[in-house]
Amino acid sequence: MAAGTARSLLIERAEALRHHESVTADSARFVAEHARRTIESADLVLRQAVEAVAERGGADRLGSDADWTVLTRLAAHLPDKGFLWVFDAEGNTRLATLDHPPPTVNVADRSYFQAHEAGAADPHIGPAVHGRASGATIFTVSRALRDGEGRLTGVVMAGLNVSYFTGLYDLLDPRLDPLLGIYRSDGAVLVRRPNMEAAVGMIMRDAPVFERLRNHPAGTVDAVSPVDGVERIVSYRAVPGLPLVVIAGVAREEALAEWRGRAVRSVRFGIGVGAVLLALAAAGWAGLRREDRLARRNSLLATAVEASSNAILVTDATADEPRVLYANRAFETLTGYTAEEIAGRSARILYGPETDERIVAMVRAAVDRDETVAAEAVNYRKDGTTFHNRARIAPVRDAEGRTVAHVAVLWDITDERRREAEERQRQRMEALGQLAGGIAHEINNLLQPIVTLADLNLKQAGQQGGMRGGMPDGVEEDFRDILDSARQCREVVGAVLAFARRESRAAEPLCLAEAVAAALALARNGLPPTIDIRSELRSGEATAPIGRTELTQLLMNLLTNAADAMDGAGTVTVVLELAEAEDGDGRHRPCFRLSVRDHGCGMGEAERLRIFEPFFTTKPPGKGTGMGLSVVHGIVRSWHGTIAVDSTPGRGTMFTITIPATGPAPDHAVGAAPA
Amino acid sequence: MARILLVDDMPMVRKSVGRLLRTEGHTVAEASDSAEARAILEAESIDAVLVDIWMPGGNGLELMRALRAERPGLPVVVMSGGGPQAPLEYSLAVAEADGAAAVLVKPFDNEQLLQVLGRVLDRRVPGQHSPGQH
Repeated sequence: MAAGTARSLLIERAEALRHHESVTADSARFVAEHARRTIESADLVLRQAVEAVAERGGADRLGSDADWTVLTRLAAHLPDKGFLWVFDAEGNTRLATLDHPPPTVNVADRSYFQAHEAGAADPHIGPAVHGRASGATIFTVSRALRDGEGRLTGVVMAGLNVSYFTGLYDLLDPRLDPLLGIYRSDGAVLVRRPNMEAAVGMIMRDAPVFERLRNHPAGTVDAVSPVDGVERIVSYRAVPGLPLVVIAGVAREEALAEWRGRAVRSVRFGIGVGAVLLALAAAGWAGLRREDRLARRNSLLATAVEASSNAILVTDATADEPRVLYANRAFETLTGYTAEEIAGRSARILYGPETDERIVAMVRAAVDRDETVAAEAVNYRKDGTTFHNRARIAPVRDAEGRTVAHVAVLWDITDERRREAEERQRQRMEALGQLAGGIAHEINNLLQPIVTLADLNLKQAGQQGGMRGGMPDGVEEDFRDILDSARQCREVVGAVLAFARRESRAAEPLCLAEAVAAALALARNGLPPTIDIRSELRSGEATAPIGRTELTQLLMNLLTNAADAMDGAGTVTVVLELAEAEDGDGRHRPCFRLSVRDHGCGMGEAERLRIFEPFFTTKPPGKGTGMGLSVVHGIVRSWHGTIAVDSTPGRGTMFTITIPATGPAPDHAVGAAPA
Repeated sequence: MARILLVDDMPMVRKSVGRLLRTEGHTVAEASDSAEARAILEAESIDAVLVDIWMPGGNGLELMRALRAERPGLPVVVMSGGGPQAPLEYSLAVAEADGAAAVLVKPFDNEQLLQVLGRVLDRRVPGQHSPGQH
């Protein structure tokens, strides 16, 4: 969709001109068709008028009210207040539908009258003139009245208001200000928009269009108008069956200006430039259904591109630099640049010191090879801040297969990257914690006999020393050194463990709602997509002195269990709210209540009582270590919170955890020994 | 003087801590895992149990919980140097919460063990053994 719209939105200069050529050609086709239908229907009225005059005994006999009524009814079939006149063989007015009785007007000097006198073919189409009676600018379609010998007995003339045609042409997009007109094949002007008044009476016989018309019934030329001196792209077309040619033109300047400002303008108006161009075929131009459909389609595409939540950027492939031709709204939001200010500038404005040059080079090479390329790099907003940009850049080709532009779809993956980094860090810390825990376990156990025996021997030596004959000289000091070293070793192990757990320590109060939301986002990645996590986090900005890593670990373990209990598909509901809990002394203390509910297989009472035991598992071998809920229990205990489980076989399980909002009292510290 | 059951899978720990306790006048029975410990508890009268958490073939927490249920008056002191999978403080927090008379982080000082033992033996129901003095 983006590429299709981009294709119509952004075309290089020649392409823009060529595009206008096709638009003017289509417009000429329409104008020709409209002219043919209008004049043929006027001629039909004239044929009937000629018959009516003959029935009434010729032009000379006309003049009664009944005559006027008959011809006025016929004239009603002419477009837009057209009128009929009947003249006798001398050119005197015998009847006028607009004025009864008719004004005393002689038209013997008019070209159409003289043409009929000279035996011109019917119908005759006369050039634009100022109506002698009405003052309106009209052109004429007329037929001769002849007797049995073919002698001219009069003329029936239909006057067509030029404003009928120009009014229709005015419905077009005024920004393009197209030239549209109907001319006789000899160059006489019938209708011209704009500047009709200046063109009345002009004959364009020497204009390039009329030169080419002799050999080519339709075509497009670049031409400077003798009326207004404007250089235009002009399409012309002979009207089939009539001695007429129509033209449709767009000023070169307009076409290029429109092309230059296309990106910006389409953003401003929220419709695609393709639609702007094809507005020629829009309102009032019901005859051009194809153009209508195209305009509607382009408008839809452009609106869709604008509405896309992905930033979309189109750049000129024909320039030295990837100059921006179009940027959608999401791009503006992402980068802080407005479409107006980035239009015409190089897309490399998004690069900065942290942008990986190798990726830039890789992208450039792929673009040069005319390939679609995907890449991720640090990009810069207008305010200098950075974001991780995942871009996909594809060439936009014209009908001949030439690459005229590139369309880039940009994703802001900053959050994704940060979460990944956090998750990697968490996993590293977890792995380090496990490694350190394993080593510490071994060393601490090995240190136990050293400490115990050194201490014991020193004590015994001390007791015996009082009675003399304790340890040999120096040995007591050796034991003291051994004991000191063992204790120092214990400190080192403790420090390593503390380092490994650094992340999990509550350095500062944690906003639980925020932390739970982040943990759920993280857990989401590790669960099957068929697990729907719903959360209601109602604790606002309340904090508790607990570690983020522990909270994450806890939720991951509970959610993994829930997912397993539901065979990998179903809804898990996580609710966080503020509550009160009774402490050991019967006082009510503020706390958080965190519940995780699944609709899985549930469990019976016997299982329920054992789930927090290390190694206890109901999962098949290889599926779980049985440590998950034991760790959860340990984490909750370390917070001095509580955990309860409510479960019904076949219905589901809910874990409810309370977390003291103020943290444990100092005398509740875990462990009786220095670590 | 008390009769203490020492449960740990590491012989050097049993040997050294056992020697300390005996030096202090206690009677010490040693077991290397839960099964051995249960056998001894069946056969002998024990005043307090000192049990490690991480052992092959079962863990000290399970034994501690079982004993809390079966012999509510028997104090169980849980000790651990940390485990390969669960952080030390989690295990000890669970142990404490689940009824361990005390918890000890290895390597503990002699004086620390003796104080803890003295305290838990003191807490026993009157009429049973009183802690020995040395």
